[in-house]
Amino acid sequence: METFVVAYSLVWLAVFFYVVRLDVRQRRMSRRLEELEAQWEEPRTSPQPRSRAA
Amino acid sequence: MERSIGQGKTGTGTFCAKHPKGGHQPKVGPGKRCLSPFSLGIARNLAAACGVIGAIGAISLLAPTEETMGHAQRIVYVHVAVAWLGLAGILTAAAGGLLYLLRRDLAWDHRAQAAAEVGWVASSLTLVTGSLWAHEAWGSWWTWDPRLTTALVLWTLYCGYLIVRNAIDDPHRRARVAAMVAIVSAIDVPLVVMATRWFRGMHPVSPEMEPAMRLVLLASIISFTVLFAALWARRCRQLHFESRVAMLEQQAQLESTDALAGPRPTPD
Repeated sequence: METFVVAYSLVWLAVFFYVVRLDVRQRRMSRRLEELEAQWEEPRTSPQPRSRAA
Repeated sequence: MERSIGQGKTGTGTFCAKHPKGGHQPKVGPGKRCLSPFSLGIARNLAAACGVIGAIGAISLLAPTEETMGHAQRIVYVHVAVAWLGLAGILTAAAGGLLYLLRRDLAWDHRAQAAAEVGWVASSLTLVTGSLWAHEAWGSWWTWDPRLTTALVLWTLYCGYLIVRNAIDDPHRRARVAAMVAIVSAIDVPLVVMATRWFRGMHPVSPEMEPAMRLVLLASIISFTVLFAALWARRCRQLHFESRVAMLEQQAQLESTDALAGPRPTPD
């Protein structure tokens, strides 16, 4: 009985950890995308610098 | 409407980096986020969850207890399922690699990588569950039986494939090398399958089973296949998303470099 329970617990633990790993990577990528979006928007919202000719 | 960093045009329609797979209509207007293919994802996850619950129920309640090994024999239901997925993983990775070499489309490389990762998990579980079963049946955790040895070789090949992928930075070079490794690794699949017939060993060769046991085994194989297919599909989407983010990072870096350099002097 114990061996059977150990085998099944290991299988589901492995699947669980793989899903968690996928989730962590997804969150990291989403955060990176948000940072990029912010970086992209910044030059448009900030005041334009004076030109050298002026 | 201004183009956001997350949106752009692809050959087939509007591309959204949050859901780069396409096949959905983005909302129009500032500050709006695009729709995700929820229905497909939920259906896939629901099918996987139902399959898993059904398999656990069938293995625990429907499968008869074997006389000699008792409850430990139930390991077979999960061992066979993950062993099949370990073989399917490397075959899918080889097929993805071959299609990449023919079409030079990185989407096939992403599919191959996702299959290899999921296959590695399945292959590792095959060795672990097989070892637990062997301890109960043979009184030994490991023997150099042909089937066990070829399965261990397959696991090592999976490790090699993933190590090679991590060692190369250029996406196309990585895809080419990984494709070749996957195709060569797939040669081990017929060896694993036929090892019990070609060579004499201890591993059972399709043992006689009661109809109820066969039914539970089939249900287990199907439910694990659905679960791992859902994981594979999710990882494929994620890899596609990651490659898009990397592309946008490069684009942003180039633009910031251009902005720092200022306007180029015009020759007069």
